[in-house]
Amino acid sequence: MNRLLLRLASATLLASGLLLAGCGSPPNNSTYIDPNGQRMIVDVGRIDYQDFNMAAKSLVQSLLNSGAIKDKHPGQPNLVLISNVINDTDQQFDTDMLLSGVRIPLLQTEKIQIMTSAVAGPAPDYVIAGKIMMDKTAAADIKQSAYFFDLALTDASTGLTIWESKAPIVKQGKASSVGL
Amino acid sequence: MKIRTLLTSGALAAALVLGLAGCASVNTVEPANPQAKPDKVADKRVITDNTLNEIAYVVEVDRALSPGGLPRVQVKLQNLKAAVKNVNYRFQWFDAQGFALDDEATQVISIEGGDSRDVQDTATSPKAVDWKLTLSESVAYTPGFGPPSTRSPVR
Repeated sequence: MNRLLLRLASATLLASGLLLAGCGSPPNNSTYIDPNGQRMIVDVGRIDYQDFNMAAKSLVQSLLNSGAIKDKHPGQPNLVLISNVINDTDQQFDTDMLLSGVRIPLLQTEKIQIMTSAVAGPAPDYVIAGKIMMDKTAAADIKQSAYFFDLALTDASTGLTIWESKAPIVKQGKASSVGL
Repeated sequence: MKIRTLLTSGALAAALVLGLAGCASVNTVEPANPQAKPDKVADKRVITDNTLNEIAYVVEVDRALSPGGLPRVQVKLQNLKAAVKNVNYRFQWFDAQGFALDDEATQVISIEGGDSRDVQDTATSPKAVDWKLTLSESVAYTPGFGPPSTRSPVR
């Protein structure tokens, strides 16, 4: 009887382990993951790919909900010049990692056309420029990195800043982790 | 027998203190008669994770239009537990034929115990007519420091 109970208990434990292992187990081999999903690696010491995505989304949402971009040419899209974004962090990266996440959704609105240069062609209606800043600190063995993605919209005809938003991405931990 | 009882009581007391140390809910204050007149949306929910439903309970869904005329939705989430929790969320928009529009990034929100937070999204395409919000609990783990979260994402 005891041997039977022991076998039943072992089988139950084994089945439970297999079941738990099947729910969200990490891949042992290299595998593709959803680039917009929640299983990216989170590195507390640097800006990750998903950080650019989150910041860009936050900034675009703020811009679209602000109403700052007015129809300057009824029936025609507004011309927006994407100017420079200053990287004021300790990490080297292409600022297009952020700007592509801003350009693409703005183009999807079908009310904006993006200019990458003001050298040729018509004058822009609006100009977008920005800066990425950082602040790092630690408490015992817990590290914290804060990155601030700041974008501003200027009305090209007046030179006035009519919208600005700052998207903070703050990460905290002892070591890098997998998953958001 | 006495020693065993003492050890058990001590262990229970320690567990209680440690458990309470991780829980810090919030108190909130707001107008008794709010001026806002939200346009509430009747929603359809698919709950496959009851635990997630307790830390990110959908209180209400409101809709509006952005100043540019794009559809906008706001979902109020409430953490019914006492401890702060991170919740992942992802909006998806669909056109009039039900086709998914551009894939959107997963966002993270932290909800204190007992508190409610609003997540919102504005469609970037004028073709958007419907939306879906996917909520999931944090799946974060550090390799070599313990097992991963075993909770499946909620759709």
